[in-house]
Amino acid sequence: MVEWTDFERATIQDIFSKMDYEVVGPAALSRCLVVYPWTQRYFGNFGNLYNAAAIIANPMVAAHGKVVLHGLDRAVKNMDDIKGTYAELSVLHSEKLHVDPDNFRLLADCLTIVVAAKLGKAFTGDVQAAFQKFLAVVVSSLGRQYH
Amino acid sequence: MSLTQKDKAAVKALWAKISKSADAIGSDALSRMLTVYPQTKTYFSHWPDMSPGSAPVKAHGKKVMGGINLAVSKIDDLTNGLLELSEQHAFQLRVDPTNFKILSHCVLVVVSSMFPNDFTPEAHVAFDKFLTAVALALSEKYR
Repeated sequence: MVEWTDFERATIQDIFSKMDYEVVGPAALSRCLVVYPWTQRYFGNFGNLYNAAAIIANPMVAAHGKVVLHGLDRAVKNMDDIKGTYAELSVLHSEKLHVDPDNFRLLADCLTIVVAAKLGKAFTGDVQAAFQKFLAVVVSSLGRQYH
Repeated sequence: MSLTQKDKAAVKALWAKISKSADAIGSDALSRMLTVYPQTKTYFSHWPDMSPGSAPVKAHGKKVMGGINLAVSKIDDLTNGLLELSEQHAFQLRVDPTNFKILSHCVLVVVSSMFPNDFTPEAHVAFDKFLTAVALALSEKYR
């Protein structure tokens, strides 16, 4: 069981309650596809991913970014059992989507960068530590059911 | 994943915008690293004070960013340009190279938080590639 301090719980709830998922989702996913281009392998049918501008403007990328963030919301609302919450999603990513779990870490890093840009000075070292711990649990849970 | 001309131009353009704040970036990145990745504190047990923003942390952050500044100027040949630093890290400091990735990540987070409009995805990928290349050059002499 993951132990969360009061500070960590409050920090995660605070960040996500103030977050515009419709903006942050697309920003994080498009950044991931630009910064780690090999992640594009999972989006062969998304159309034009030729360059950064195309990726950022791509409506399918934006739509999917929102899906991902809303999926993350489930963990925010179930911090005491993220593993259980993501069991099905983990199976999906393994059996159906065949996503290398290392990609979860790459997307998590991009999400951290996007949130840092949004929060500026408020994204202190302690806040970053809490945020990254949360994402690490998410990443671990999503990779849990792979075999 | 070597640096293309486009990458080098993007790095220099970003550096031109952020280098005035190099000391602050270095201090914040290092402070952050020690907080978010506590295992990195093992390298600084000789410091009287490892808290964020303390004198040793600030001084060391400045030193690290001085190294990055040097790397920008030697971007066309990092291996030779950073030879001395590589020898220092290999034979004296013996920092496990995994930590280069950790510190690089913290630098990216700080730059993103301080310069959200300049740290576009394109600038991000170029700078990430650059810091990876710097880490590689620094570990050149390790074995």
